Amino acid sequence: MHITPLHYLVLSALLFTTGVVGVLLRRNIVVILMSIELILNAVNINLVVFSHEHRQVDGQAFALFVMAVAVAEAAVALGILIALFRNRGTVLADELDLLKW
Amino acid sequence: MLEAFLFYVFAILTLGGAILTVTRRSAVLSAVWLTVSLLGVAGIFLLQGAEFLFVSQIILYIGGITLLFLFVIMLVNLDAAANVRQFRRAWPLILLAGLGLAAELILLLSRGAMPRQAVPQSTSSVLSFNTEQIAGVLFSRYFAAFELASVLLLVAIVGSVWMGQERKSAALTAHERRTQS
Amino acid sequence: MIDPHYQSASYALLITLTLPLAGCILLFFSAFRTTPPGRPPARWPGLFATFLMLASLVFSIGSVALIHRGTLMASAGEWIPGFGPSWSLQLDWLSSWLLLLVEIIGLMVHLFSLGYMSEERSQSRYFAGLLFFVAMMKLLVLSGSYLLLFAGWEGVGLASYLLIAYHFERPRAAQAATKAFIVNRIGDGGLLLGIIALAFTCSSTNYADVALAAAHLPHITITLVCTLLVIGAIGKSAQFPLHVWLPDAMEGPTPVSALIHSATMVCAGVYLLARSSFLLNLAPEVGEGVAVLGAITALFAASVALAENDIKRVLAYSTISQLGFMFVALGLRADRAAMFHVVTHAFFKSLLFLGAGAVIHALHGEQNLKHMGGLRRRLPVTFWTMCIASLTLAGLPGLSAFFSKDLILESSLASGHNILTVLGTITSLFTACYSWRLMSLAFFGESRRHHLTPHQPPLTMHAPLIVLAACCILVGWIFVPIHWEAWPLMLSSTAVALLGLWLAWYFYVAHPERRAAIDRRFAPVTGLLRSRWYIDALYEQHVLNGLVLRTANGAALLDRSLINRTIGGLVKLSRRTSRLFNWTDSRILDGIVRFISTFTRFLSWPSRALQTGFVQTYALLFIVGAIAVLGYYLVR
Repeated sequence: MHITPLHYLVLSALLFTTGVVGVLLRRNIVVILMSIELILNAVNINLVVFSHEHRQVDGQAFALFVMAVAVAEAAVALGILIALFRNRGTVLADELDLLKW
Repeated sequence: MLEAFLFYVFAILTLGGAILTVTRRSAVLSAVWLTVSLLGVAGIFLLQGAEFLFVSQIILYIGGITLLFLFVIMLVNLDAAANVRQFRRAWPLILLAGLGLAAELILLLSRGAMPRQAVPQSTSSVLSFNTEQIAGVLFSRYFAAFELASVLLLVAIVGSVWMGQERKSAALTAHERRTQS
Repeated sequence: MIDPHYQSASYALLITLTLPLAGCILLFFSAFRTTPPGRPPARWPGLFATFLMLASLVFSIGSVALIHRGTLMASAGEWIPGFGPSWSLQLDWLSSWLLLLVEIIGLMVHLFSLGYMSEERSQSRYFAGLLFFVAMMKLLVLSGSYLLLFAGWEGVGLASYLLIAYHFERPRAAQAATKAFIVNRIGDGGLLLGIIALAFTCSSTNYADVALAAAHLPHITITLVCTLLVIGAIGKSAQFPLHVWLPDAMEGPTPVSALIHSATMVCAGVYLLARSSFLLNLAPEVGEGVAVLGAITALFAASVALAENDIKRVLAYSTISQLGFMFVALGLRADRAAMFHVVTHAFFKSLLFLGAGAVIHALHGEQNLKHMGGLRRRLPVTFWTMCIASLTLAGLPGLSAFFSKDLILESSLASGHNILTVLGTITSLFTACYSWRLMSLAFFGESRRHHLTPHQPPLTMHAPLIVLAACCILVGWIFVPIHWEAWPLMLSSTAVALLGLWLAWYFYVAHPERRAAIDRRFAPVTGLLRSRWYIDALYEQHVLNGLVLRTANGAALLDRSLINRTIGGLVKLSRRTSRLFNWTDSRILDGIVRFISTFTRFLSWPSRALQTGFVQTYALLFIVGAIAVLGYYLVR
């Protein structure tokens, strides 16, 4: 069958949903961060598909920037995680409830 | 024909890897399956003619991010974390939310005014024409964003280096207190 | 336009009324304290009370002086609506005489009490009682209406009760006080009925209003009212048949007898009848009855005094007898004569009582004349002052009572009722007799005591004696009008007095042994006199044991059954009510409060539940919100 851009978009939606479920479902912060990467990648797929469809490269440039930001964010987030681990001794999101009422 | 086959291969890699990332108990396994998923995404990029992105994806994500994740997993002591419950107690609700989200997205997308025909491949014979185009756009139209992105990366580097340092201050950190007493 | 003198006089009167009352209230607060054994009794109550008496004396003299023999009538409204201006004071010749009398004799008694009562344990109670009496007596005397007079009347009755029962631990004192109060009550009943009758017929109890209205009242009403007033006077002034309380009232401390039961309270009846002259003038039959009663009482009491052995009882019967004289005068509408005799009698009788008190104090409590004797040399001041008083009582010419008694006899002669004059003369003979008998037994002859030597009274006890003796001598010349034209009467009175004195001297000092023979010859008479004409026994049997005891038992029964049950019921009711309140408070009120707090927690639960502190929860909500938004677009 012909692969229409819709297929790619559905793929991206499913990847996005998986990433969201991962963020909500897992207690381990590292895995949560990995899920965030999945989300970002889903967005990237979307951007590239639309860029390809419109025969322009702007979407890809956008996706490049997304990637750059994702990388920076991952680095900083993991740095924070390490600092958190040093202070609290845990990497489980459930145990970090300092903002609780 | 080839495109469909490749698409499905890469799609399965991507989605399968993603699902496995999210469901594995061991964080290392999650990282591995993340790598697989990202590889699949790279393939998708390639299918869409984004060669530069394909390479960037491989280099950055697989070569950088997954490595980073693996290092951090080793750094934080995860023996204890592996024995506890990995999933939240409210997982049915979460799965339900996820299902709902997916359903809604797909429904909306199917309703959308997307062209149902395939997009013909580009007929350019010059390899890496895509890269030149990106470069052309990047250094002209999106130059400010480009510079800002580099500043962002610099800030991220400095910040994460500083944060990652072991600071031996007068007051012990909580971790040291816990491990020493 | 109010005369400023009169205004100042009214203020002075109010002050003189309130000073003793205030002092009494102040002393009341320490009245329940008794000095513990081993420590000397407090001196301040007596000194305080004496000082108050001195101050109020000044004000009394001032107010009397300010009105210059006029009449001050000050009224301030109705006590009981419809019964006329009852809050009123009246100061005229009648009340100013008695006011000054109460003041002076009150002061003397207070002074005497400083010494006499110096060993007593409950100083405050005594002086509070004295001050209360003085205040009430002044209220009685100064009142301008029958209602206030009645208030003072009852007040002095209460004061008398409290003071007679000063040594309430002695059963005889307590009984005497009760007897005094009850017998007084009988008289008070009559008085109250009379006042009520007046109030209804004259629609006022003010003296002025009644005097005006009395002229228009039917004769029967006047007679009835007068009779009722006379009954009250008989009760208070101890006339036959309501005289029985006075001799028993001698159980109280002697200064109390001097003040209350000789000089002032017992004159309240005389005062009442003098005050009601406008009524008595309209009912001459009542007047005649009063005169006859007074004469009979005088003779009867004098006869009993001849046979009494207790020094204070002699003086008590003497008081009754002299009051009888005053009643004779009142009955014959010789009010001034009666009041003069009140004044002179007050001085010499209180002197006699205080002197007797000095003797009793010196002999450490001995009151029986048969156990005294030979005190003439031991207690010189007492002896000489009591001599003067006794001779005054006997009616020796030149001393004050001679003149006042002669005024009375004069009026009885003028009235034409010769029987009264005869009775009065015989009474004077007896009076001279028993008064010198008392002196002889107490001061002359051999000492019939076998124990202690008499101890000398202090100055505070001598000073009043001397002052009162001076008054006995001088008051007659200064205040009592002397009708020199009635010189035959004066001569016969002198003769009678001298005869009586001689008889007493003969049988008690010169030849006491002859008494025994006379005693045997007149044994029944002596027995009659000694038993006080059997009146006390009759009273005891019929009134006390019969009526009073039965009433007391009935009242006790009523108290137990009705009142105790009512109070018990009230207690149960209040307990139940408080339990109900407790339940209401803990269940309902606390429940409301707890509900409010629980409700607030309940209301805030959604907000609280959202603030989990977990980022993933927030992300979930985020996604749920996104689903909602997408859903909206889906269904649109």
